[in-house]
Amino acid sequence: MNKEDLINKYLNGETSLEEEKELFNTSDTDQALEVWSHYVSKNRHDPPPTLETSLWEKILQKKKQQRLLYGLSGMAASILAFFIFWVTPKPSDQMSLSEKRQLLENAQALFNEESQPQEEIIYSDELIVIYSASR
Amino acid sequence: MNSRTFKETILPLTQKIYPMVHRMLGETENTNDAVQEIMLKLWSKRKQLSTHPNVTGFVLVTARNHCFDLLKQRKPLYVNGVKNESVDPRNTHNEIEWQELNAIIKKLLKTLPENQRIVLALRDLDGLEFAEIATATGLKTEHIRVLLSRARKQISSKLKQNYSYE
Repeated sequence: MNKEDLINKYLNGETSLEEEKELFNTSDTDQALEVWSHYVSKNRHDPPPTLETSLWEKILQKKKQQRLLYGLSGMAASILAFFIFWVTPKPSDQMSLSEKRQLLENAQALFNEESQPQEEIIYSDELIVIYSASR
Repeated sequence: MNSRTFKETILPLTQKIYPMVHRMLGETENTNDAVQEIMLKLWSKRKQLSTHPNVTGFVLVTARNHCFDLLKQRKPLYVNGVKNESVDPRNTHNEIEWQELNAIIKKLLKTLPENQRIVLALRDLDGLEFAEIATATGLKTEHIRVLLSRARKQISSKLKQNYSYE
């Protein structure tokens, strides 16, 4: 493609970035395009070569800080949970006297007289008494 | 998205966003800081990025929005893509000539409609692909080509007029 065609293609917005680069780097184009390409080259700023590396270092640093923060938060939460468990008064496992009495009464109520075995003396003397028991 | 994928896919996009951020913000130091903030912002959104259908577009839009936020906070150093500076009498002949040319083009760019000016800057100064410009501006590729063509022709004819008097 000759230069004139390429310039027309550029003016019609049909060139690729590579073609535009080529066109801007060519010195013997038309005067208006030369002025414009000079303006573009002066106003275009590419990143410094070390920028990506320094950005990655910052990201890693942030990652490390986040991990540390999460670790410390977890630790603080564990300590807090431990203290809450330790300090909060636990409900007593000892029964009060009235509760014990009530429990005993309930237990006694389960054994009525009818359910107790009938005792019959089979043999007795001064030393020994033999019972037989039946329900 | 893990660290390795981020390093391999997102970090190289610094090359794409840097010229645009520099054009929008001005000073190199500010640009480096801004690009760093953008990358850290993207790092915190890496989960969202891993499922995004157009990662490059997402990065460009994030960078552009970040620049707009920064510009809202301060007075811009650049107007229409050109640094707002006065001529220093101690400058050499070439520098003075360059500043004159810069001023002329700045004036010409001001005469363009805003969408033409933006598309021209994104393409010629920032070196973005049409699809990327479409994502960044929300315009269709065909429309972008039309706007770009009009802007280039306008600038070309005005520069020709300007230099025909010399």
